[in-house]
Amino acid sequence: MFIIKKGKKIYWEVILFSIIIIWVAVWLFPIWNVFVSAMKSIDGYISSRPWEFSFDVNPIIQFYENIVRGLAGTQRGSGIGPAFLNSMIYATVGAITAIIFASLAAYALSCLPIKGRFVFFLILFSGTVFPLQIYLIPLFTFFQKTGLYDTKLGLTLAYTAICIPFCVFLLRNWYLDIPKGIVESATIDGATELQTFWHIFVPFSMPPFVTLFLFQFTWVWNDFIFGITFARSRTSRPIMALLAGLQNMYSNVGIPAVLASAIIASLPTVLLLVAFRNTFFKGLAVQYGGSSK
Amino acid sequence: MKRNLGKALVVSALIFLLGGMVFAGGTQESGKEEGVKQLVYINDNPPFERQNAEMGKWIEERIGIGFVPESYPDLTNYQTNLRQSILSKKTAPDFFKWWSNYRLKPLVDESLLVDVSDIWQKYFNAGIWPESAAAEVTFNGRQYAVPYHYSHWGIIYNKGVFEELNLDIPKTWNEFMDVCEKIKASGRTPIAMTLAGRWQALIWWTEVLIKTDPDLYLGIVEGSIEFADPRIIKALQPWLEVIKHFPEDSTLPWQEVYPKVYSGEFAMDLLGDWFFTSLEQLGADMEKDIGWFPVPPITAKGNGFVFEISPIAIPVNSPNVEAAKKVLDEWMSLEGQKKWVEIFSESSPAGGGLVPKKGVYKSIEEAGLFSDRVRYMPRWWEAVPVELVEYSIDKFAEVILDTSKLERAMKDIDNFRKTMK
Amino acid sequence: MTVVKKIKPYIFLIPALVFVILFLIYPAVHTIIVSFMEWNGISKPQWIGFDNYVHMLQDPAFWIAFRNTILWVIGSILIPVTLGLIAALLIYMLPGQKTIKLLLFLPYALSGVVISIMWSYMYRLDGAINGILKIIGFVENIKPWLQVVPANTFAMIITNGWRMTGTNMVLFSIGMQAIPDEPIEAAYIEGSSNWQIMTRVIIPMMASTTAVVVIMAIINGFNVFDIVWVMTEGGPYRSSATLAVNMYRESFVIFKFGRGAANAVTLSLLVFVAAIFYMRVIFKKSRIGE
Repeated sequence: MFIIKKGKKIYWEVILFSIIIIWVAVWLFPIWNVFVSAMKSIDGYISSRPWEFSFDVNPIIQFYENIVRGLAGTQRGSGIGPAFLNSMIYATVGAITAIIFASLAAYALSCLPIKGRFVFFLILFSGTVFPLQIYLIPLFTFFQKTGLYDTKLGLTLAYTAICIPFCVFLLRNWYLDIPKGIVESATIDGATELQTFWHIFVPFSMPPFVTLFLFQFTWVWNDFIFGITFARSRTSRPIMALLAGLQNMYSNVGIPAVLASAIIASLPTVLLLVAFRNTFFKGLAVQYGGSSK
Repeated sequence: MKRNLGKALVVSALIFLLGGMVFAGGTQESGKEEGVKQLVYINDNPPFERQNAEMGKWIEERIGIGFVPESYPDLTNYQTNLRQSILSKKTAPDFFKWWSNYRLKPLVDESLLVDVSDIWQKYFNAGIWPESAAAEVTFNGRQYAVPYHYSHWGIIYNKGVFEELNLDIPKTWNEFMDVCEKIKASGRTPIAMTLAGRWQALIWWTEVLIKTDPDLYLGIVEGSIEFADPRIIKALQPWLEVIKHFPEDSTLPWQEVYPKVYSGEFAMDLLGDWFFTSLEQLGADMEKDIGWFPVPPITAKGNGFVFEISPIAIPVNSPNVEAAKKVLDEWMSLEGQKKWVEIFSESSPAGGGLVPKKGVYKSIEEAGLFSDRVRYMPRWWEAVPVELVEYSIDKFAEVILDTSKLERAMKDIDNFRKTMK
Repeated sequence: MTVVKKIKPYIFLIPALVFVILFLIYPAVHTIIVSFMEWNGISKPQWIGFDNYVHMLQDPAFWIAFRNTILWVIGSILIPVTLGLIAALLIYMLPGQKTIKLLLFLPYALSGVVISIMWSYMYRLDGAINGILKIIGFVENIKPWLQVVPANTFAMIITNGWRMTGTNMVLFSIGMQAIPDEPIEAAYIEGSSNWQIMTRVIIPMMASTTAVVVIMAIINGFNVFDIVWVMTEGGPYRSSATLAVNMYRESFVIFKFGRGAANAVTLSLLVFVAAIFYMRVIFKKSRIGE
């Protein structure tokens, strides 16, 4: 589908192509800086331009050393290593639990006889509307009273809860597309609600499940505000909270190690994005556009 | 067949989830008082982790209970999270570093800290600790913390720069400003400063006041003198001169500022003597590379010295109150303080004043810092209510970035203080 | 039996409802209550009516944050939405550029913290931005970008533009793929120029996508926290704070939970207004009445 007139096509394509290549180069420039700087020693970082390699030490070896320094930290457990595992738990368990609970609720809301289903839907959906700030203070004190503060369980629960509303919204849309006839015939065959859900809805839901998992995983992995508010110790702090601490006032790992850690911290989500890019693109349209196709 | 596979999937997913939850919930260990060997000391001093660990080991060798330090680099979150963790038995640390006076008071008011007066009393009676050393951690006659370290403010400077430019230690304010000018002319930044982390904005504001007249400073602390008082505005004029010698980029985090003092890019830094430890860790030689001198008085009255005490407190909810008390008791003992002075390279008022046997401390002793000639001033950070500190340091930063705002900023702080309850 | 049957459907709702009510709705309501109290998180809360709101409205720092938040909203619309539309058009005209699309979209996978760390080093006096300025001859424009007011807010808005452009581009791209061929071909036969086809046929057909993208940009602009917190903590002297940063500071730095809650409620009201428009659009598309 070209809108460029044939005679001038090549001429235009070259211009547009150059524009977009320059654009991409500008866009990747900050990322390039990070990679280059992460391969420098502290002295090399100070004495060279941010976008140039510094060869006072072997960049590859230095890169490896910076990563180790970032993961392990300079003192007992101050690196992002343990936090990487913490965040893995939060992102995986939080996303999966949310999807399971949300799909049950979406199934009930779309296909089962429920009075006031719209009210229930609004209650569940309301979680996507407000800024996270409104939840912080009471959750903070609630966690404190129940002993959930600074535990992996507490953060997992909070992340699960924050993921549920959007999952309900998306899955409900998806389930509304299932022809009513299928549900009715299953009921006539004597299947219980749970059996219908399991045999008809779940197999049919794999595409949205995958999409939701990718998005919620990315969200939880990249979250910062819950992480800094609800966890203190290294046994429960998620990765982004620790990473922000690494570049803080009194940290002493050095800039190259901070940047190397930032690369490591970004790997899971970037790899997911590259591997599932089309799912991300489609999912984004659903997320923002509300269309279920 | 398909059905079974599906079920197997569900079951395994559930096991995975449950496992995750149990794992998530099960990692919270609560320590037991009996037979505990090692406590955890929570603090916000990553640069001192090695010294703290050494002290923990030394105490363990002596009394069988030691500690390991766990430090957090992020000042804001450290305060928030600590305040909250000490509220519950499940999350409270064994003991932790805090700030004295107004920063300590809210915790004392809510009975969150263990009363350690008996430890202090023991050492008062033995004549090892002077009672004055406890002033900043005493509330209603009881002590709620023990000192981690005492620190005096003075200029830490790069000797290489001074030698290269043939500079003498300034004895008067004018000489000091002259030194700054010469360093600036050589293309270096005379005075280190960072506004990242915010609190350092208060350093020179305080110092200029107490080198002019300590009573003015104390008057502001007590509230009997207003910030915008003409005497204060007049006394702060030298501050505006000092600001001209700050780095152009004041957004650098501290972790990047102090290496620049070692490298000579920044020639001088006004901080507590805890700063030596950071420089030593970079490999600086305390005889050859680094020197110390007090900020010269601006007027004859200006004999004030800022004196900060960082306390260590035990939360009431600490899982190991008794063990923690034993550790802190040992820390405060004369042997403990001697060891600490040796490890940490900082002075201690215990035993009539302990000073490390290192080059740079000779100048501190010579400055008469441990004599009666000087007046110790509390650091602004903990000398007034937190709310006022937080508001005022932002205003100080505003003046540092634009000195024409001085009077306006001081008036704003006055107005703010009036609205405080 | 019938009772059981009637109750059964509701059981499916319970887990999700419990989570949402316990962790989201109850806290939201509680925050509203706390906004009428004086409370430092440790002491007993005291009811003080509208004092927190009065104090907030009289506080110059609130209005600075308010102004910054509005700047953020405007900046989030102007930069990433415009750039996203242009990028989508370029890619639309050059089919088969999947790699380019992916590369521009890459910032989506990065967290606010990573992006902030990346860019705060670039904005420093010795950073890449000033390095480039030096090379191209703008020596007198060199400054520590995050320290100078109001350049610090604009610098962070640009960072956000870098972050969000790819997302908006993908959204516009998807919208463009849905445009039918006929009107374009018709215009082409009528002899319209490329520019006319673009401005008169393609862009008007993007209206509904644009609406969603703009509303999302507004909501994101209101909510911005992590970039500001990591890059400047709202400083120097609160000059670059936003409402979300102020809320965090009041609550978790100086422990005035009541004032923090008042900030949170105000912010939520603003976001809620934008969210109503958002919901109208997506509910229309998702046939909410069924």
